[in-house]
Amino acid sequence: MTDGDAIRLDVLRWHPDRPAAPWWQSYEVPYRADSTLLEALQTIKDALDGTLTFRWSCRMAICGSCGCMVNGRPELSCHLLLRDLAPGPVRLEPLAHFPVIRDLVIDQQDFLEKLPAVGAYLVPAADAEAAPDTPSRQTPAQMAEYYQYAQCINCLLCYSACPQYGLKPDFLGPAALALMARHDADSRDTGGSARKAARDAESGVWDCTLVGHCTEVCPQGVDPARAINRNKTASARDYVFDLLMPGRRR
Amino acid sequence: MSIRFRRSHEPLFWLLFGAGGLVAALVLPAVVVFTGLIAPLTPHSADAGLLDYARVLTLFASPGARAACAGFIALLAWHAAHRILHLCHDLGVHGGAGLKWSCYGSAAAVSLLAGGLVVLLPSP
Ligand code: SF4
Ligand code: FES
Repeated sequence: MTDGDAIRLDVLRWHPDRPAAPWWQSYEVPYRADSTLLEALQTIKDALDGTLTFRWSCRMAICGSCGCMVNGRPELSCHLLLRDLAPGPVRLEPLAHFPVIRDLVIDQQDFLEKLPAVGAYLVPAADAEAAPDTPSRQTPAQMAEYYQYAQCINCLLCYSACPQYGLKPDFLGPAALALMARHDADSRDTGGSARKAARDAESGVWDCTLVGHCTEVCPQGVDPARAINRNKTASARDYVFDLLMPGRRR
Repeated sequence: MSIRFRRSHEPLFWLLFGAGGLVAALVLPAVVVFTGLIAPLTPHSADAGLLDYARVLTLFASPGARAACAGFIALLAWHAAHRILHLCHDLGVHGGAGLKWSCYGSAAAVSLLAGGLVVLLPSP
């Protein structure tokens, strides 16, 4: 390609205040060798159509806000070069499986409620909490246990990739369950038992059927499918023990 | 808004499914290879094949062999039931409790039948 090429973006649009059903709108956008898809959206907003709405912040695949469906696959728009999408056209839709607020902006509320429900936060031991200024030391091996899961940027691409979440929205879903595993695996954490109710629930790990697409689309190399399926074994073990020893839990 | 969790009984069915999968992946191919290839292809006189009736009868005279056979059949049934149920779900067919009961009910019936035959069939 040479600088000065243009590519066509077909964007699925919707506006809550208009009676119209969602409609497709095409834009012809000039781009350079180093232009990202997010930059193309910004070019549209700045120069072609100020009404187009989308989320973004960091432009470097770290804030997790610019996710959308690109040719049917969940992607971060700041993480894709237009030259890799040429010659186009490129089909852009809001992230699948979520309610749409406007154009490419989806409603994240469901996920935001699931995060605290799975206990996706560190629960320090009592003595560590009593001395907040004392560092909680960790060996590199202990850190390696959870580090991969801690890379999650809450971009929700994995929820759009997950057919089970599409079928059953109360499924806690890939990122929330990976973040549950992230905190369980942290040597500084003592909150494991409180997370079990979510893990063992009908909407917990057992709604996953190991499709594995979550892991394929994750831009951060998190492996939610592995986190969930390792927790299935743990959940099954607890189920059998609780059955054999009533009153073991609680 | 906080989410209320109900404990899933899926582990029970998942463990049976997993055990059935193990049988389907390891035991069944061996049975197929033995009964379908090795036994018929082994040179033998007309009335003394590896799968000769009298020979097989002697094998299944042992309660251990009978129980193992019934166990394999039962686990395969649970494996199939679980897979069919989840396949329906994946295809968007949500049969609800009815489908669940008929899938797992059939597996339970097959298990009972296999177990019953172990006990009830006369030993040679
Ligand atoms: S697990 Fe990966 S795809 Fe899912 S929200 Fe986290 S970073 Fe995004
Ligand atoms: S803009 Fe932050 S991840 Fe794309």
